[in-house]
Amino acid sequence: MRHLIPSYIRVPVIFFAIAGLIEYFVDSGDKPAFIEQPIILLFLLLVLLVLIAIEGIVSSMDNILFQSLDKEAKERYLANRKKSYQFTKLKSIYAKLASNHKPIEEEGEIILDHNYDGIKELDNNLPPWWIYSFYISIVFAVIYMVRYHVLNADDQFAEYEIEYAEANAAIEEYKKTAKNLVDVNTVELLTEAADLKAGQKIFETNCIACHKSDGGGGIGPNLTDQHWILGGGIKNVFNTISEGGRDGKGMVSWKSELKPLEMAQVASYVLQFQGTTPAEPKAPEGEIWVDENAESSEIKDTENKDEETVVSNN
Amino acid sequence: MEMQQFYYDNKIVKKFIYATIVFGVVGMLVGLILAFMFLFPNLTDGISWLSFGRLRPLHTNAVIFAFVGNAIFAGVYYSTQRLLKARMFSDLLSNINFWGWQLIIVGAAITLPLGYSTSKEYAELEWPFDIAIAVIWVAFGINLIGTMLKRRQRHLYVAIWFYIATFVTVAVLHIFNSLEIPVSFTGMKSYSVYAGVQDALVQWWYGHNAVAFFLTTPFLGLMYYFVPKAANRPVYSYRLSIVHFWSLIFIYIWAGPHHLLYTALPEWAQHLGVAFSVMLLMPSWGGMINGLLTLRGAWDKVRTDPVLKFMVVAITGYGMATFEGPMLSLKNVNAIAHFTDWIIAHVHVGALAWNGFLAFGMIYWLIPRLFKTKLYSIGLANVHFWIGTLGIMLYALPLYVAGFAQASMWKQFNPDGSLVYGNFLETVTEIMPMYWMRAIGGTLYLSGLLILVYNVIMTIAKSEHKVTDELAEAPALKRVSKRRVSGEGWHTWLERKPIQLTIYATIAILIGGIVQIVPTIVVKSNIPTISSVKPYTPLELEGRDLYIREGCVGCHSQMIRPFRSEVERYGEYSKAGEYVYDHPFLWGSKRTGPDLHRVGGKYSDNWHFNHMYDPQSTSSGSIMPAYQWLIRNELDKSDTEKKMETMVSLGVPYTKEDIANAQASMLEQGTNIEKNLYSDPDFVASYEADKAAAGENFVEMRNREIVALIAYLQRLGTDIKVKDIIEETAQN
Repeated sequence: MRHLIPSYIRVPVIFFAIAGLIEYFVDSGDKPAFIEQPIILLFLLLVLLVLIAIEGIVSSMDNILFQSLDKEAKERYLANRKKSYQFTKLKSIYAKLASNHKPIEEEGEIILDHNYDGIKELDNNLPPWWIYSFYISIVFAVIYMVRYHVLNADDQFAEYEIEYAEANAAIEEYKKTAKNLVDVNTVELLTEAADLKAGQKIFETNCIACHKSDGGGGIGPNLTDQHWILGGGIKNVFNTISEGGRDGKGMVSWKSELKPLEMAQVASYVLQFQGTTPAEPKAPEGEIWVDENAESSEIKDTENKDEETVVSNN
Repeated sequence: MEMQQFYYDNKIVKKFIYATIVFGVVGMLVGLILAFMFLFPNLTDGISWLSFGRLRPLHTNAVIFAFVGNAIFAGVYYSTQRLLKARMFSDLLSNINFWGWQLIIVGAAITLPLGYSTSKEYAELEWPFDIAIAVIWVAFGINLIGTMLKRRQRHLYVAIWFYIATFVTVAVLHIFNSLEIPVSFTGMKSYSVYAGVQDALVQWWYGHNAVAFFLTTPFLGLMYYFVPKAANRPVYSYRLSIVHFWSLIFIYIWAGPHHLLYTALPEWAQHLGVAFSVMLLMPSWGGMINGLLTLRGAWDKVRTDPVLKFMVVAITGYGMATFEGPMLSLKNVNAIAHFTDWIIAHVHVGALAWNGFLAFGMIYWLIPRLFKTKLYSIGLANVHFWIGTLGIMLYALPLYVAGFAQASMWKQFNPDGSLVYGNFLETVTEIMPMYWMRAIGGTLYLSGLLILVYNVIMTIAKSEHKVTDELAEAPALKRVSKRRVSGEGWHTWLERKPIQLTIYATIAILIGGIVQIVPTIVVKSNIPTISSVKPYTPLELEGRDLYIREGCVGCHSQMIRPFRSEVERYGEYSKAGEYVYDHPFLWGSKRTGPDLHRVGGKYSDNWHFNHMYDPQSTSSGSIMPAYQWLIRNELDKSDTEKKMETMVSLGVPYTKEDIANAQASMLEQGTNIEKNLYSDPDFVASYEADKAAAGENFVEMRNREIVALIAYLQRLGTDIKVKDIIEETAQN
């Protein structure tokens, strides 16, 4: 069999197979493994050298053994070798499968006495590859039905449960190690210029259709006043952006379109509107919101109760 | 043997050819306009009857039934007479067939843009047309079978078998899919008798087999006549003809459910669809092999003869499309390709290459023969061939890329579990370059057809002959003696028995449909009921009819498949029990825009209002056209009670009070939505200004179409809350 494939094909094929396996098994993130870990490059070089060395050694061994044969044996060997190059078996299988029809010159033997407006018909055999493929597809169909309805393979809902279970496990795993995760409990008001700039960009792409570019409000409420339907402050605003507003009346949930950090950025940007004067301010909606954690707030004590009810409406 | 003289009717062939060419240009031109609407969504700005949703069914119907349909009739009328050695059974029926068919097409071209649509794909025409189609089709069938009965050729050639299967199956498909109840006999509106899952199954049994028995089997028949004729070679294998004919028509009919994989259709039906689709590959390829191998020994002619060139590409396109079909039917491939442009590419390989090119080849072959002259320019025909081939490639390849790329984007997740492309629009803007290339490919293809038009006109102009009936002679058919037929094979026997052949073909095509459809309709467990699912309110019902009228289903699905990527994006996956009052179903087959099954409650009424007025204002970069007429038009509430009564007759549990209170209920729900709209100061300002300007004739917002549509959209998918569902399934 070794003679069937020349060494100039065999060596690269084996080499790239090994390289491919390494890529598959070594976890290297986005970059190729041999760039991430130069030692792999070294190893691959070694593999290549070894492969070439093996080729060299084996062929010289062959040669030595060949030279040690007597003349008759040499001829037998060469004859055998030549035969193995012919792919005779494959060729005959191919011939059997592909062309079972009469050559054009012998068509006269199989032409039927049909004559439909001058159209004649030959009686060629069904192409074997065709009929076998048809049989195979029938077997496939039977196995397919048996698999689902006798052996009870997973139905689409079981597949769905599995998909979610796997995804949830992966997300849990990711959250254990991931840095800079933001959620509604940990979100803080961002004040860095870069964050606010990013927030502005997000706002202008996604929010101005309903809130206007100066936050004056349109479909959505005015963002410049102290009134909030679902509570002000970074945590509530973040939560409203993430989960959406009142069902059927308010804003959509943005958590599928914006990343948590982006929501924090745009929430921080939105809070910048507080106290500004828009061109066409919409009338206030919701309650006046006061941060219960604010340090020096005189109204805090008096309005504490209202504020709790507002927040708990979330 | 006494020779009989008779005349072939060539004039009817000529008429059908002219109709083929005219409607080919029209259908493809509409398609091209649609392609450019992807690039310029408001191309036909504000003209309701030129909007995408209304033109799309016009394009599909014009290409399938007007272009391909007339090509079928032209080819069938030409070849049948010659293969049976007889003039058509009745000239009157031939002409009824021709003029009736053209009238239906003209009627379709008027009513579809006006919004009279059932929304069922490739069966959009409303009930009066459904009746007319059935009548004309039966006239065609009687003419065909009548000709067989008075034939002078004892045995029926394979082309005729395919024509028989076509006639029988299309009749069955059309009649059962179009079962519908008109709201009134003076109006166009009707409701499908099937609802939800059942309607989906019947529709795709029809839709898939419209491809099979309108676009495939008649064209295989044409191939079996015109390819050996043009190549002057014997058909490769008679045995193959028999095997692939029977296996094809038997298996095809089962494959419909592969259009509904991973939907709420019961899984046993889905799996039958997959299994039979895979088995369908070789029977389809049997036709391709028999066509291509018939050209053995004639390939030198292919190099020079444009007719054969067109036919070779047609057959190759058929082979590619029928290979792709079974692959797309595998559930894991379908999970990617479904709802994307991949499917659009797939069907256009079939339509542009197989149907288009075979029809062109046939026209180039027939026109000189009918007019007893030579084709005006072989060179121009070659130009047409190359420009058309390039057009097909430029059309299909970019859309394959677009479909695959968009599907991948839909499914990509960030490590924190959020979607990478959470905004649907990002995935649309990404594939805009592909939409450009598709439009260019389409332009090329249509230009090729215009070259054909010129070539045909010049050929006719240069011809000194008119199309006349053609004299032929053949001996009359005598009864065969028992002795002569002793020992004949069963199929040879069948070939001289047209009635038996028709009956057997009918049985073969009925089995698959019966096994799939009857249990889905009869066995209750196939569609588990959900107690919280209630009929639509009168206003929502009217809104749903607007959704149907505007063809929203052409771009928006209402079927969330049980995939994480879809549930994260759209919400809880769709359940069979949610659709029990949906006459017709509106699952859709393409997502140019996002799925809408759970859109209810997602946005505010104001958002929908602004979005319909100017989609780009709420969704920057959107390729949805504006629907401003919905905001201007007064809602027609005159038929609401009748509509509800029709629904009652279909099993929707509206009570007498519901119907009696319909007007009050609509006014109340409309007023609520109007009140909600007032929360936008911009709306208030412009609306109040309109009101002041209009004076007495002012139609209040609560009575306009937009309010009904918003009511429907806000209802969608809200019947079940996720926690309810868990209880329901636990009970079942």
